[in-house]
Amino acid sequence: MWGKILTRLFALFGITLTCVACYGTPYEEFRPYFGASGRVVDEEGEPIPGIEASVGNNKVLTKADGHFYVESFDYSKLTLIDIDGEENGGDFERKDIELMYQGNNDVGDVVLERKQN
Amino acid sequence: MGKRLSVRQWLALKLFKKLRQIRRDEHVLNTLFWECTLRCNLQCRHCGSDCRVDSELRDMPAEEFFKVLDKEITPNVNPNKVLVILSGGEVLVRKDLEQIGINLYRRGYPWGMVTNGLALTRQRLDSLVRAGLHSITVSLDGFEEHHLHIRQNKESFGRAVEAIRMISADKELASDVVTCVTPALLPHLHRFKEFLYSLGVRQWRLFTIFPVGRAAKDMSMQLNDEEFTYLMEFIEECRKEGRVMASYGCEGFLGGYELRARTNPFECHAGVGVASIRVNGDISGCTSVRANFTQGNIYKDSFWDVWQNRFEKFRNRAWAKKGKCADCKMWQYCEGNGMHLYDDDENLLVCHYHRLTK
Repeated sequence: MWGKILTRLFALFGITLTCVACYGTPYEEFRPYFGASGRVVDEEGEPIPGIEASVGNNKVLTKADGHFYVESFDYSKLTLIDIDGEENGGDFERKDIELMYQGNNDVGDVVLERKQN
Repeated sequence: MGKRLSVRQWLALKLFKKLRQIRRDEHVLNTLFWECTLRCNLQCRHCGSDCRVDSELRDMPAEEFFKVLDKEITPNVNPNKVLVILSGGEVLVRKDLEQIGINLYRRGYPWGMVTNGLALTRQRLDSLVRAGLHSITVSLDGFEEHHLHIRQNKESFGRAVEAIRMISADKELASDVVTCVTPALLPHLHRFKEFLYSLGVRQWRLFTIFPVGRAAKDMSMQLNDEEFTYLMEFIEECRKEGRVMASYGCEGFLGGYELRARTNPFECHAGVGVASIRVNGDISGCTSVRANFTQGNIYKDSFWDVWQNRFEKFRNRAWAKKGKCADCKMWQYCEGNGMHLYDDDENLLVCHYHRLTK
């Protein structure tokens, strides 16, 4: 209790209390590093909503403008899957993209191809 | 300035004294060093570890470290808030570093490493980053002539510079540069700061060499008291300028330079928030604390039991109030300097406060 109050008081005056241990490295808390953001579009460049974007076990759906952001502790690859079939502009092929960097990987516009009947 | 405390410093240190005691009582583990090897690809003049190219001590197998981590540490901490620092020797000589990193990452531990940069290629850095590397420090001890004099390897300067360029460009990675300041470098510090800035460095830690390991036999690398005081003034000037955030290493109480040459007030974190597992299994505070302060050994003791119930000398410094410290007015703020500055007989080797000449 007093520890937290005093720590906040020091912070108010710009005094940080985390220090780099002797011959150590700057202190960092764990961050979910392998995130991915971008926009899913069809071959004509039209955004596709409702596509499931997942990294590891974390999943989101693309918004109306096709954008998504997903992050995971479990670094892996970004997977884009059309889970609603013909809804939202058609039935699209799945796509996997390897995430190469820590932090957010901006994959830009990702084009999904329509499934061939 | 100098030895005297300003009102702001006096007030901050008085308040911090209370907080320090709380932190000692709680001793929440936030940093864990793992001295995973004593092998090194350099033979530096100032080495505190006395490392060799082929250490007589074997590297600690990763499974032995992870056994302690999984059984003793993880159930008792929030892994996301315990930084695991791999130290050596030179950690890059270990070929299983990426595997170790991934295993730490999968357990939710942030991890970092200290390196001389000699073996840090673009490819190696990328693979370490992919293994969850959060934080990295590279040592550079001045311009080429200064660095080579200490490091004794022709390629060491160029490789370290390239390593610094790479880590500084990666904005997702916490990084800094550490420099051991010698008398030869002192007149060139301003120019060296500009050089670091041109490499992209924004965080810079400056150390002075203390007489332990190989450095104990080479007094030419140690600053005299006037030079030490000048260094404090230089750091303060850099901090005011704000382009490169310089700070003095964590090791000493700095009197009137407290909060001016460092952001945080002096506190030795060894055994309070920082623990280490040495290459032979010894449990201590920082890896630089001498062997006589070892608190246990992972092959014989429970790490968590040692962390919770031993470390008395780290958390209650009454034993250190002797010699110069016995009558020192600053004792209440300093409590006997850093734990790694004590010799085998538990006598203080260096008092930073008494070195200040102004």
